[in-house]
Amino acid sequence: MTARFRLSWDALWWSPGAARTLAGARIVIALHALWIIGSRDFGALATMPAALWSATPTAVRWRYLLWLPTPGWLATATVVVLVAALVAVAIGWRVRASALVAGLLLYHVAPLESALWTSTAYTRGLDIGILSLIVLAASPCGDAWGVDAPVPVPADAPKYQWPVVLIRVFVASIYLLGGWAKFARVGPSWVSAENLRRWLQYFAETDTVAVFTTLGPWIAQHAALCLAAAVGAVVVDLGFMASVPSRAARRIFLPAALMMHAGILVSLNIAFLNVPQLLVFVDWDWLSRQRNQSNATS
Amino acid sequence: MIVDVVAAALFTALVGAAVVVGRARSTIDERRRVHILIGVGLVGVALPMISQRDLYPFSAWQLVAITVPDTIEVPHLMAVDDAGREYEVDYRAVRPVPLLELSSWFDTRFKQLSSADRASATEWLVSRIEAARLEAVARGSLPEFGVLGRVGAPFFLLHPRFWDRPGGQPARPIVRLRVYRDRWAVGSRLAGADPRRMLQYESSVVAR
Repeated sequence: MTARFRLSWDALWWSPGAARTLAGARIVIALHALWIIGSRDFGALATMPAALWSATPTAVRWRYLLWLPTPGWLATATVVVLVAALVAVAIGWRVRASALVAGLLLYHVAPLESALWTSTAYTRGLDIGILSLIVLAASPCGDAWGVDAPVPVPADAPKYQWPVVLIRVFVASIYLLGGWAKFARVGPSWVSAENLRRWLQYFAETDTVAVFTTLGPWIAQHAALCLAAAVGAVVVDLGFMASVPSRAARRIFLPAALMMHAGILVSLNIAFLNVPQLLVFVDWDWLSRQRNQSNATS
Repeated sequence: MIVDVVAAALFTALVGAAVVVGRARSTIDERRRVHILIGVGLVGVALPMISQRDLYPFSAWQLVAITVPDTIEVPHLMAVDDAGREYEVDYRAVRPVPLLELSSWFDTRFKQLSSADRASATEWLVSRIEAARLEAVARGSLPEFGVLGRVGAPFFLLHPRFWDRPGGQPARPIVRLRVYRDRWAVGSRLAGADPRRMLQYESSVVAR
């Protein structure tokens, strides 16, 4: 049993991996973080008047090293350095140091969005990015598709495998933990038509959220559809982790997750900001080789 | 507080493990250090799962992991013009604060503020909304958050663009903010009922 586990463990983490697949994950993580940073006003948030921050607990301030309100020059400088570090990660320049700086600054900046009232910033889209950047900082993720990348691209090696697997575990944990939490906090009754019906109604009835107001209420009128949606969500949640070791599972759960998020967007008005990070499951090396072969043929 | 300490320690351990991987002297040494990094990463995933505590950036991902009660109560902000007419607060009008965070702040932390801080904070918010109104009048619409504009990331919960709707944009200066709690039986609004709206807080009039 132990020997079999060890074999499986080694096959998962220490098989030869492709430098291009790791580089693809690096670019996905960096561009996704830049997308979120460019879609918010973190510098302006940090410099809001002291009165707004006056009830923010001390623990939140020290945990993320937040100085609130932050002097304007410091807030601007922090965001500029963060963006520069993320660009450096994306283009593969001094990538280990850049990824470490980006990960640490992202850990500092990301909670600003919600620090007014809570110590957690999950669902705001940057948590997996923070964790992945720290992992990238420990890996040779600049060995392909980067300004510092060696030519030719190095041969497959375990050092390109384990970082991709760990980043995929982080992304897949969104689903596993999401499914687990439903059972831990509610129980099997979460998977019921009535529960889904209420969620659909709740979001369609809340003035500040109701953008799409057709599909959700329509599904809510059909108990069978509500039950199917609840069952489908839990199956994807609990099954998605299989996509980390299994290519076959990836072919099922990646499209299923994309369809689920699209459905959630137009029925519940929830935009799941981590969706682009599903691209870390793409075999970028295979894609690159296909493209090269296609170019050579033509 | 304990959760904060554990979360910070976990993230520090991840960073520490990542840093030492880069300083390995041999392949065997590197593999051992990578195992530690993997171990910290997996503990970071498992701990929020087991404890159901959010240890950001290791999150518990409690996405819609509750049931919706029979009666719903949510905070609702309204802007008031100098003629006393109420308008919905467009999410783009309170930049840089996301509307969801602002509503939750009014629902939780705002009550802990001193009266002076309450007045100061709401005065600043009213000023932001009025500045946004003037910008909307000048441009015809409000800009999105961040520098990416329409290609930027939406918020986790979508928000309607209230001020883009006919009659939705205030024509007169905004001078105060009202914070309500809306209460309704789930499903009743889709059937045509209005929510019960209870005033929680009303800011002073901001002089123009």
